Amino acid sequence: MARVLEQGWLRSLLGFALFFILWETAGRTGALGASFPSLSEIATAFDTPVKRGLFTRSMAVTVHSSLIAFAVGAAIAVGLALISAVLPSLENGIDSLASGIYAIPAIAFGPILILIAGPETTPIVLGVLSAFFPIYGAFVSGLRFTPSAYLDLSGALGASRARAFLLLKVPHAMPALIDGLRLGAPGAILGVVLGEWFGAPRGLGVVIVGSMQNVRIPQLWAAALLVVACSLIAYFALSALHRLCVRRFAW
Amino acid sequence: MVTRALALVMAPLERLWALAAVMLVWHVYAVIQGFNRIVLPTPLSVLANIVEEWPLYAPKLALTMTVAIAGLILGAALGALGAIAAWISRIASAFVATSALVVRSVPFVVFIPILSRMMGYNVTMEITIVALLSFFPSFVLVSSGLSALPPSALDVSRAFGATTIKRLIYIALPISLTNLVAALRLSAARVVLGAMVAEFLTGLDGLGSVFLLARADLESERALGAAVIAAAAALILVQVGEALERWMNRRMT
Repeated sequence: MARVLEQGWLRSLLGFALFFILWETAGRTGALGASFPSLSEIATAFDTPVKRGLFTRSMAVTVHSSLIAFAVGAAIAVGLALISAVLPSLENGIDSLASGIYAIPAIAFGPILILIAGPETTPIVLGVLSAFFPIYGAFVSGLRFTPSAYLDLSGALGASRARAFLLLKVPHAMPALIDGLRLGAPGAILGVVLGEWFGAPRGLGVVIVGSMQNVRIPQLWAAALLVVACSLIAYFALSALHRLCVRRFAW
Repeated sequence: MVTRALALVMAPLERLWALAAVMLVWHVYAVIQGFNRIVLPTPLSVLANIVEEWPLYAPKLALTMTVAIAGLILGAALGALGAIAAWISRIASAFVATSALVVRSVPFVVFIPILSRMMGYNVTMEITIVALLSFFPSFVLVSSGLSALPPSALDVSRAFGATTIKRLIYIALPISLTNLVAALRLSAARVVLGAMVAEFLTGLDGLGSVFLLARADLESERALGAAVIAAAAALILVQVGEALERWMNRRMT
């Protein structure tokens, strides 16, 4: 038994099994109240084609919006980080705009986005805003902290500032950028779901709020868990990319 | 002299030009589109509305911020206590690794509807949600502070026969305090969001519920007023957190 526990993956497998058994028991006994269903009860949210159809359609909308939000957020973040690295006089302003966007609760952008972008586009814009900051922050700090020895060397070898930037600073900041991307992906999903709560016509966020209001407990849990699952998948996929990138760019 | 005066004037501008630009774009957009005040109010009319209706906003702001700050402190304190308990019992690594993963990858806000179903639409639920948001960062950061204790300090204390409790009080707590403050600063941005989303979804009184009511009554100015106030309050809370962190770092180093 002790040797089994030493195996890392076996231990996590056991941990998960224990977690799910506890969950199922708590749900069946009603230990945490009627709004805490067992896993098998949550599964009933998928037991007819009609119900499954609702989830597939909603998830397709949320995932689609999240992907757009993530791509646009990443593009803006990378663009602004590059601008602030090339034009230091704009650096402080971009920084405080970025940290302002970060500090302002995303929900506060809701009312104005509803007016400007409309309920269908609001989720995407909120996703962009929440994905943007971690990506920008990580890439900027990656670009700023190039080891000075490398810069000195490239200067001594006569590399122009542009070459040093492209061949030294940017590659050095790649692992940081991907770390930012993997934080930004759950951010994009969170922003999209939040935006869907502002009256979007379709999406997992819409299912969540609808089930909350109509006390459809298994459906509520199923939708929330699907959002979490999307977020975890995005995070782990980018973690794999991060490992690859660290190996490629590790100096 | 003149350049120094100029630098004083320019210093905030250098940081704030982008925010000012956003306001300007909003204003110009509203004016060019010729929206009426219901469709898209200008920034100035929103500010005027805030001043005019301050007595209406003030109690809601107070409610939201009380819940946000109470939950922030409660969650961070529980997170720190949990980290200390895990450190003493030496089970930290497994829990901390999982929590660190969870905090980076799980969008907690989607649990707000579930928690409000489980606990009812009340202030206890709202504080619980906010505390949940600030619990994990505090647990993770304080744990990493504790695990990064200088081994030499621990060796010395062990050589002098200090008990675990004494090591905790004289070495671990002072060091983890800086990490706790960092966690507070980190969560400061999130707690206002948590409180407002809870209010927005359940209609509990506060700035978040203003959005709900304003939308029903088509009062865009009021919704935007509440949004601007919430944004300002959250920015101030984050600034306070950053100041606290700087102060703590100065004292501890």
